[in-house]
Amino acid sequence: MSKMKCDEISPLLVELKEGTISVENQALAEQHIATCAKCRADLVLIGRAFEALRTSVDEEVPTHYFTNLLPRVRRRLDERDVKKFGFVLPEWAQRMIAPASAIGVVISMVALFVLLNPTYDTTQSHLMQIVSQFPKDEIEEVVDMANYSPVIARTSELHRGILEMLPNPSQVSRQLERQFLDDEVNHGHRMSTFLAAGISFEDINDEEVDSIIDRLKDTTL
Amino acid sequence: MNQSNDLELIKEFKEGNDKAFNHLVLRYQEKIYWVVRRLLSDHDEANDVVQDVFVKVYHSLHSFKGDSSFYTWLYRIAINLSLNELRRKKTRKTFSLDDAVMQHESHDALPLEQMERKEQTRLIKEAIEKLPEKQKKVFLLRYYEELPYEEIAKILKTSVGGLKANYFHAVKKIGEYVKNEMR
Repeated sequence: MSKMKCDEISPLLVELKEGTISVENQALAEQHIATCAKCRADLVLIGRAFEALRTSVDEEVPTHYFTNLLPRVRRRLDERDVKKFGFVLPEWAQRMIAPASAIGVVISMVALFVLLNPTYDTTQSHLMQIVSQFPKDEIEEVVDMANYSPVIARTSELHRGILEMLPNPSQVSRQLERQFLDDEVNHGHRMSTFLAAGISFEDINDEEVDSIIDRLKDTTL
Repeated sequence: MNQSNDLELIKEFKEGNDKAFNHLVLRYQEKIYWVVRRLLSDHDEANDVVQDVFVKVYHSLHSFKGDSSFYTWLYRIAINLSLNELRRKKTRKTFSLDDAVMQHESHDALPLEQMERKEQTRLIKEAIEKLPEKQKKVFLLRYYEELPYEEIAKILKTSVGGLKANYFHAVKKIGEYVKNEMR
């Protein structure tokens, strides 16, 4: 056996099969292999590997992949460069900007309307003043209209319930009726529900609202 | 690799010519793709990582000092991000029964030579996937990228002697795998 150790010869076995080995090293390698079964076996395995590698082919790349890679990279860079107030908005937040802004505008307009309309009053007394002027047959008309709208349908149940709570329902003008319905739609039925039940808006959760509405439903015409 | 041209592009980029970056991407995109693809074995994963590589390059290019060549630096980023992804997903794809059925069915329609080629390709892919991380890196850069050991040593920051040993073990393991699978 040659004086070189197997782990010194090993890298030379690769070069031998690659065809990149120097003349001097080739002589050393061949001398070692002649007397070392282990390294002869390793040489066979290396040859097997290179043969398989030469036969194998690269897997396909999707068509136009490289044509589109740079634009994709650029898009990623543009997304990363969107910064608001010193921090990078994640993609989901960037998508929310437009609809959130629109909702903000609507809320601001409603709030402005509330502030600027001197006749608007969400207090219970105002609500009761309006409701107390509803005659029963006009309530029925409102119920018919409400069949075409889920919001107004909910409102109509409140109309009924609130009306039952009043001792003396009386005549109401169309103008007041419309104002009451507008109040309901603009501020959501919950507002009038809370007021009708004498409960503060701040203290209510969804389950309690549903419970109040159910109680009001029970006092139907 | 056209080192001087790379440095010129980097200089232009640093001076504010953003489009110089595009030239670097176009020059190296295929090489980087195949390095990443062979490490990850999957096109979709490779696609994400390749984009990550160039995004990182873009944001780091101002601080590139030229201590190494640009492509050495680029390869290093690509390998590190690929291995991060590999570790994160712990992807060791195995050849499922469904894949075997599909391959068998597709082989029926192919000439013998093509079938053998496909089979060798599959075995090679699996064998490389099973290599330890260090051996895999060395093997891919040496065999597929045909880089000299000295360049690989700069990329991986390791000795040439160690690289040669890793390469030997990688090739031997591939040979063992192919031999065992073809019994």
